[in-house]
Amino acid sequence: MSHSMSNLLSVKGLGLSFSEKGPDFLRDVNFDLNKGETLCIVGESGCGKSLTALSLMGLLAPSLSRRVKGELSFEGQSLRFQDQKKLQQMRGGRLSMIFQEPMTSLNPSFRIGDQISEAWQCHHGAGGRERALEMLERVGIPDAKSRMNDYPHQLSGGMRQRVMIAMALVNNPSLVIADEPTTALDVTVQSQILKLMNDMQKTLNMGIILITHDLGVVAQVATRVAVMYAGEVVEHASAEAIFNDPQHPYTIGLIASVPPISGPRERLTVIPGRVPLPGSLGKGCRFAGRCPFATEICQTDPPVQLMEGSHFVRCHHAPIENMKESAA
Amino acid sequence: MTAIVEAIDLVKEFDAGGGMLGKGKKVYAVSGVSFEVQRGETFAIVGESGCGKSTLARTLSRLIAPTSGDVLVQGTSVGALKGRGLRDLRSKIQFIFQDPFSSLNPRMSVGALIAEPMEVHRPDLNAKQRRAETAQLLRQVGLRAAHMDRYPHEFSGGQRQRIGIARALAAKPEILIGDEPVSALDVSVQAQVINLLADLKTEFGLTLIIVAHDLAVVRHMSDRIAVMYLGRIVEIGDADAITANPRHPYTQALMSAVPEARIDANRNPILLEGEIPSPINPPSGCRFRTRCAFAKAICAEKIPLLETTKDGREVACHFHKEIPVSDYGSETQALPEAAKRRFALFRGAVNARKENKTQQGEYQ
Repeated sequence: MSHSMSNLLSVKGLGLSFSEKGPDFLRDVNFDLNKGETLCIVGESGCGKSLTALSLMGLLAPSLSRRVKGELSFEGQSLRFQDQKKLQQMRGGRLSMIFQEPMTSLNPSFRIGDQISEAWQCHHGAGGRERALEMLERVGIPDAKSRMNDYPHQLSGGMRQRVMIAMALVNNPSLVIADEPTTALDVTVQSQILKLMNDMQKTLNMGIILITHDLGVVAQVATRVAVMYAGEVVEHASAEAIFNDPQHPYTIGLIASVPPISGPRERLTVIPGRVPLPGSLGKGCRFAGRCPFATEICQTDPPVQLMEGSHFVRCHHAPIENMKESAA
Repeated sequence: MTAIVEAIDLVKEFDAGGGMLGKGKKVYAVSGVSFEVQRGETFAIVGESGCGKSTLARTLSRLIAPTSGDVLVQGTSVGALKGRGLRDLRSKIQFIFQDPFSSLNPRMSVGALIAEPMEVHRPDLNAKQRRAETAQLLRQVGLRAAHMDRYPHEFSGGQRQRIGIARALAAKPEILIGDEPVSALDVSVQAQVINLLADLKTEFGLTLIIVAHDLAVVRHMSDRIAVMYLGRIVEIGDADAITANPRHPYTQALMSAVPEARIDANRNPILLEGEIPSPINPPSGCRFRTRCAFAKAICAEKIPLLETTKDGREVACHFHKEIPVSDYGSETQALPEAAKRRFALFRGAVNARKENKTQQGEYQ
């Protein structure tokens, strides 16, 4: 993978198992991100997208974080995933996170102004109230001065998510990881929040990792996309390539199964079966059990193929149109 | 065509909690909603959180009683029904719930869950017949008869939703109401359940009423759509017409905000000012006026009634004739060749394997 000057984050060989001999919940996860860009990690429940985020943030339980394998380089500094101390120093500072459910991730018993100031104090010592007010204004909270004294329950879902964003950005991070930031919101509020994140990204030139299951959101905001399935990145490419030139059968099936909002209505394409449980993961390609193109060779680990324009596909058969007509 | 379900000026108000502050206040959940659902069609009610769509769906099936107004099912008023009559209504209208994890009793086996509505609504069946029919229903929803003796926790979300559907069908209903029936499911499983509902609709000759917030899903499934905002219908009509060319300013904002799973899509979301007002104290006149770019004095004074436009849809807006119609239909470009070819290959390969493996449980 190319390392340009603006490389912000690169993750190599991230892996995680819950026990010594247990299956790998994450296996050989690789991706990178440049400054000012948005990487979308997309996949269905249980594909490991949130685990990836938590590993990056060093937020796994200590018993688990010891099992994280792999390396990352962040702002030119290379470190190992087990290096919890370093991650903690960066967390909330250069590296920050926005969670899905602002109702459960804001503390219900503290005023929002204090919660944002606290995030500042963790990295700068005392003060931070002025900075908190400034942030609330920047994320579009009307009447921010009096809202500083509100408790989370006094705000609507959209407003709470704005507060979460204010808190995540209070220390000018260079990378923000947002885990399903708009999933709990209505579409009209979602478009407000996505616009806000986009505006803030431009002003701060920060990188965003957006974790989502919503391919619509991905198509609207992503620069690059990593498609995850059963703990692996199966395809990693520019957003344009993912939607216009999808290579991995899972990516193809996933995009094809979304009902279109315009154009003719046809019977939906389905991916048969369901995501395998971690305990049932065997050898070889993890999608093989549901893949309509699977052949005998798929019982062995698929290679990561490099297609045109840093487009990575973990599949024996990509591109599928070159497959020989085999007995299905 | 005859209307199988008719809502006449339905109103549902809840008391806004206890306590000194809430006393005497009301939540205006549904405020005067009328429409007809024709036999055999799929009718969708869409809107964002708090617009009253779930309350409306529950009122239709008398899961909750309306404050005023009436619902006619096949011409019979359901408001006055009691006891036996109400039970007969419930056998005609069945509900599919959103959350497949909380809507199935965890202590009942799948067989017992599906047989229960038969015991209530079809007392003429004996135990053996019930068992045979349960097995049949399980196969029809894409599960196996052997699943009968298992318990809900042994199934995935998609499979549980299939069990919920089998349970609803067990009463031999004519109308199926789904409150967000696929929104808790992952994309690939969602597509399976959407196709399943379409197949069952044909097979059982059902009328479907779907309540949902995902407009792409709604458009795909339905013939007609009613868009709700703060307890009232703002636009109602043909599903394709409303999604491609919304006329009400709220429908326009809603449609513009749908993120399309296409890279060339350019919808330019109309960003609405502020937030949805509280249904405890809704705005006078048009309830959308506080966030509407076209609002004038009259909007605060007079409630806009649904008016029929040339293309046969109804819009509740004083200015619907003047407001430019949005166009989200004609801009659709053909998919790039590579994507189109691979989607077709994928579909073909799935179908080819399905024919070889029809015995395999969820291979739908």
